[in-house]
Amino acid sequence: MQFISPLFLCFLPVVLALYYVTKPAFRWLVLLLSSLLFIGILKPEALIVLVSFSAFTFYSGKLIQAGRKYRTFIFYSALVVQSLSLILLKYMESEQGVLKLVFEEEGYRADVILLAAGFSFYTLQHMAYLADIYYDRVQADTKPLRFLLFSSFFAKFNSGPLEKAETLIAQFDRPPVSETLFLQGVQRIVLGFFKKMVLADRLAPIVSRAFTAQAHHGSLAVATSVCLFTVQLYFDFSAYSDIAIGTAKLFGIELSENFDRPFASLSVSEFWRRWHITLIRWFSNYIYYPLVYHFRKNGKLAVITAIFATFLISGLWHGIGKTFLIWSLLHAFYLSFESLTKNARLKWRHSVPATFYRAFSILTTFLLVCFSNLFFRSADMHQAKQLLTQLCSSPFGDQGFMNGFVSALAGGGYQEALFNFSVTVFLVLSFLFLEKKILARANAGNRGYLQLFILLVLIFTFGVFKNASYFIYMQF
Amino acid sequence: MIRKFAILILSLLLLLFGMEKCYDFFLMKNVNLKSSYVNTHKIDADVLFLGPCEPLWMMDPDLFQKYTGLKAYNLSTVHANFAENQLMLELYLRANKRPKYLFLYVTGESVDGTFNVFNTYNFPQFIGYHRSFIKSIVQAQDSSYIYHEFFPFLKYAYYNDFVNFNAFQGLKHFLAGRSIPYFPNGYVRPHGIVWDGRLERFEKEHPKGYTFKWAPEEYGYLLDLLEMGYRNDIQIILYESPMLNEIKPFLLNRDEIKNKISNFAGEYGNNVPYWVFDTMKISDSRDYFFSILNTNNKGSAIFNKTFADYFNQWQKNNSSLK
Repeated sequence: MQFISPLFLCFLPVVLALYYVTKPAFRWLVLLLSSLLFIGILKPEALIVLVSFSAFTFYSGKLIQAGRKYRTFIFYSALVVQSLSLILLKYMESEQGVLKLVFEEEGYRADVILLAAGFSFYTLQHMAYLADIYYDRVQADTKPLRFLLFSSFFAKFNSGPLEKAETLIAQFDRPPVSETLFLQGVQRIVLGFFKKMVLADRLAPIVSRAFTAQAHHGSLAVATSVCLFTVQLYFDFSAYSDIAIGTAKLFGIELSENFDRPFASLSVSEFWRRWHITLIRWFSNYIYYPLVYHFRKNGKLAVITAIFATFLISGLWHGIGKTFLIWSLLHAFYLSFESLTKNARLKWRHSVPATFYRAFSILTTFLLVCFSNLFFRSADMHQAKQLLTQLCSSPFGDQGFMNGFVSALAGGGYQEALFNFSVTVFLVLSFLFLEKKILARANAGNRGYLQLFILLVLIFTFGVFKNASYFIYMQF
Repeated sequence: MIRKFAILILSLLLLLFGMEKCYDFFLMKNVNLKSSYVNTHKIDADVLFLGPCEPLWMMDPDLFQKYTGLKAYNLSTVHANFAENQLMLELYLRANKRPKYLFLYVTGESVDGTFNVFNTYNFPQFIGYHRSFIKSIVQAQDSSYIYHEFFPFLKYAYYNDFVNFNAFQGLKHFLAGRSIPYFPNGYVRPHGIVWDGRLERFEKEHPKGYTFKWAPEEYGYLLDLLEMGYRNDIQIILYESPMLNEIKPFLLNRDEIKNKISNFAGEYGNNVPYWVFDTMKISDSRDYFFSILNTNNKGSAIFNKTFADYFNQWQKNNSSLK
């Protein structure tokens, strides 16, 4: 089931009603059954995959905790099984997927994505769970159904946020939701719908014009589209996170924040502390820090090695392909550079006016991230190369500013197209400018009715209802 | 909290309902929106041109009037299928006297069902919560659109990318008291397009050629259109304008479809002629076209003259027969 769908808008109130009429002791069961239904509607076969892997992880955890002699073997075997499954899934999803070569079926890729819906996300959570048990940070859970709920909880199933088992499972038994939490939940859901339907989905056609019919675009239009893709990706994914966090709040469950205004970052490393926070936390805790610790005697080299290893795995997690490899290498390079030049940059920071430093850093960070996203968004290397070639061409192609830039992005020089393009740009810029205040109001709980009202009106007036697209991160 | 939520939802519903009424009003005031314009203004043409973008960008009513003396109006809309053509005619007839002649553009693309579509966003201002002829066609053509019934303003929200601009333009026209559209006779003169590259794309997409499918649904709406003409005593004439000869080898069953249309027109009471202009000399050269099926201004001028002459001759023959 998709969050942005009439079905979900019917599903959620029904589950909420059932949740609150059920005795508190059994409410987790309502969540479990509704989560299984949520996944079953998305793709019934995905349920089998989910239940199998959850059972595997749950009992592996028990064995790791119970076993003395074989715990290392069990832990690493389980990790190998989970990693291989993940790699196999990524391979199947990729264009070179083995099954695609065998069957050559149309729509195959979409099928695999749905079959393994949420797989990338719950597998990482399962790995973390086993690692935490192995390193004696937590006790293995004793109730398999509650563990299944941890894996399947519909609010975070498709694309996170990534949670730790012990923090989430503990919340399933919490007392009923407070009024403030409930209102926060509603506001976050509406904010998520706004970001997705009004901002991300309005940006989507503008971006795809450059990535599908790029042959006609000049360098300025391509560069702008690549930047807009980064903004679209942010709105799309943070919208999903907002809806997930908001939905969970309605049930009295608090999920981790996944974004913290990443475009305000002064460096790429800060960007990664503000973007997809729970995934980066996972990579930091289970790959980066262990590697740095392991190679600690090598000083800076340990950090650089850990950065490259972490981003290579992150690239692999996003998908198998050269474009993801380059994307991850670029980020590894950025972070390594920042790590190596930390002192010099600090010195420079104090030698220039603060406002200039801030503006320069924000812009540079944004452009570096956008450049890497050219590869992230490109379907293959051929397209990436084509876009790079165009980036080096004349600003407006062989046309003027209006035709070679504005009309190219707007999808034509018609008044309607220009009007829609202007509205989108205005809404996006306004939101980015006011984002801090909007988010603060959404999280305030008792305040913010007016904001809620305005967002709803904007959704109805400018939201994309027809042909609304899937959340981009569903594919990962 | 419940009280505040109730107030919030009620206020939202009221506002959306108010917005819906405003959009209803402003869209009807938009004189550039053809569906609204023909339904609110007296045109009273003797001749109508109806179809998708080909007649819209090719058939100049002023030229036709110059050569025939008959007042003409171009009722065509972009990418419109027969269902949309039918609704446009219905809206026109509600506010205008019946035309004597209606030239309906029919070609392989029109009966195929994949080239033209129903553009729902041209009609939401005519759709209320009650049953109507327009609503029934809209729902048949765009089944997902029924969602609009569940919530105020949703009929506009669903297509807001198309509708918002038209509503704002309608507001502007209302405030300015404008009554003449940007294209007063409905004909949109193409400008700025030298060659749209559709031929190259078509050849790339269909290297082995394309076989038209005879879509029963399109055929059904074509039949309804003819019925509508018959009921209103309008002489309908089916026609096909020149197409670039370069494309013809890629249209594998073009002759078969042409024969089918011709037979069908002949069977229909023997009073629906089917005129085909694909042997005109201009079809040989790209100098007269900006797309496969669209002549440029130079080509249109020649075609409009030929078409009007043919019509004059036909009218003469017809009256002498009578």
